[in-house]
Amino acid sequence: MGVFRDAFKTIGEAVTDMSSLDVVTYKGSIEAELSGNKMPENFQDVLNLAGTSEVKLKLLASTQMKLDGDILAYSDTAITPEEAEAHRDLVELGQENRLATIDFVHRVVGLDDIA
Amino acid sequence: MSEQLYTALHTGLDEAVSRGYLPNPGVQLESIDKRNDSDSRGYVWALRTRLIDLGYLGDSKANRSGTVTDKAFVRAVRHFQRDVGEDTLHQDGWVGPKTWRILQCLISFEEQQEPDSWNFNIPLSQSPAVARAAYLRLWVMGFFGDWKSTKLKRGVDVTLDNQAFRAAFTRFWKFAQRLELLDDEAPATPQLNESCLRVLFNHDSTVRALASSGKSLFQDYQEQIEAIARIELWLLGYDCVPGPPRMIKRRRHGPRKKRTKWRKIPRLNKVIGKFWDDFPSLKDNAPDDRISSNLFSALRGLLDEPAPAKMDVDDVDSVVLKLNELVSDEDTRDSFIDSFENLASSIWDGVKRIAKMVWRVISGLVSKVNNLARNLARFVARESRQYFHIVVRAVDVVQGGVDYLRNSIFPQRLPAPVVIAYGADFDHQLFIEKATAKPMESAAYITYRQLAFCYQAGCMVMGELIGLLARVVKLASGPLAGPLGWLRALLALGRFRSSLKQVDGALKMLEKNYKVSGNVSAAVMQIDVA
Repeated sequence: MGVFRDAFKTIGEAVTDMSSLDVVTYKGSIEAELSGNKMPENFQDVLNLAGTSEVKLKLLASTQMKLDGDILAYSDTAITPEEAEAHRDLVELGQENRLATIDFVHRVVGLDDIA
Repeated sequence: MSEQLYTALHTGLDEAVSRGYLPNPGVQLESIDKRNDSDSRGYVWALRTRLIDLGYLGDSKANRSGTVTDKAFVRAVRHFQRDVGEDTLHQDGWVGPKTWRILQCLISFEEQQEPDSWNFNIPLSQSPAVARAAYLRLWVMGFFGDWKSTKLKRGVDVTLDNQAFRAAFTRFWKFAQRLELLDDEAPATPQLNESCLRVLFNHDSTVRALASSGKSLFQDYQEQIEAIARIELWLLGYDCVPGPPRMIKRRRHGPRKKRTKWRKIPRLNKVIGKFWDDFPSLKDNAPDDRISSNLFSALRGLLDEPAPAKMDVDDVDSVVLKLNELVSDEDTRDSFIDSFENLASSIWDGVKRIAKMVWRVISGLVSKVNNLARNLARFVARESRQYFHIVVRAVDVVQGGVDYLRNSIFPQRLPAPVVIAYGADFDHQLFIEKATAKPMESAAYITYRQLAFCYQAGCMVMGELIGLLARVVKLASGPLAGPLGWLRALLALGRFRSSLKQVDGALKMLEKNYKVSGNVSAAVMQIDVA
């Protein structure tokens, strides 16, 4: 598959699930055995490798933003200012990326007038 | 966008990538050293040529024609970066935007002629790369005398202790003195400092000064002035190259004999004739096939000519109509269209070549008929060059964006104190190891932000470029395109200045805010926030 076709397709798929944005921050440790050069491709792979007994994570913060503007936020009292800032920053990045994607699709769709 | 146009676009883009016309934003890099493998063939070829000319890469056929990254290439790039100064360039063996910009400053005769604008972080006199560039420039301008034995090669010591180099620079200094290029504070003998390099690298000033110099200078510095004329005519797209004179063979006139006799004449003479054919109104009493001050007056006139952008490019239809009238003969038109199709298929191949081809194709076919074509050629050549740079840089950004899309866990190499996982819908999970006090200062976090930013810029850039390409393709091949479709398309680029300005703005913002500084395995960049 060509790289441009691939990129268009991936962006197209992303657009299908834009109704909410979830950002979750954890602190702790995960012990998993990584074998050979093959690295996990996503977080679920890491969890699968570790098994539940080796995962010691504490939920520090969670933010869910709905498309209609509703926001559900949780923050642990023990979260440090640095951790809170990193979490907020990722929320902003997620929003910006989502907007950039929607804007890209708008631009492409907006070409109908010249087709 | 219609499904058909959408498919045509990504198919066309992917085909251009597979042929090497465009950089490959999706290449899976084996190592940091192979990063230039993702670039277009034209770009890598241009890099190799520049490194060879500066004596960092051996001048072999394989090195000149190679279009991939090998050990010698990476070694040469690292050497060059070290010579420029580690405060200016990182020694990562990758020719990205910064290394490319410095290479252009040192090599190009038309860009960045003021060394003050090169933005080196050390005095220019301390950079061996600058000394090599000065050597090369003097050689190309013919100040070494013997072309063959003094050609800049690997291992040549380039300091003013090098006798040939010092002699050539001194010869140039005397030449500059007679051209009145030196100010009152200029030293009696040249040095490798800013003020002397300003005189050496300002090619336009030299051309302008030659326009008003006397015959005796032309006699005393004939070889050097011919070399300067070759450079300027080459910049205008004529069929000559900077450096040693090239000869062409011509059959001798006279009675036929058993064995054909040939005589050699300098290619420059032929090119000068062609130049006067194209610009008869500037010729005055200039000889047809020799260097003269009239030639430099004409060249100065072209240098000082107002930017061709004043042409009314919005009225593309009337320009094409006019050209249809000019090339009404069917054979000429066929040849014209063929040339333009070739041009269109290799438009991203190389900056200089694009300009040369566009110039030659248009001016060669119709410039005798009307000034319109000449203005047209200059306009398109200039625009093409400008857009090429923007597109090459834009594809670099898209490459970062594609990396972002490809990796859903970051960093790819685990374990790491900070891990960011994300989905195509931009949901994020951030994991912080207990002992990590400042997660945002971790290399993984900083790099992740860079890639995310590349993705945003990439979306914008791709949106603009796709819009632009769709319009150009439509103009070139749609039902209304007519026989001069590609010409119409090239002209239409002028209509999309606002799109390209936006892309350029995004790229500048990106380059200003971030700098690439280190190396991480695979296709991941490690960056420092500037």
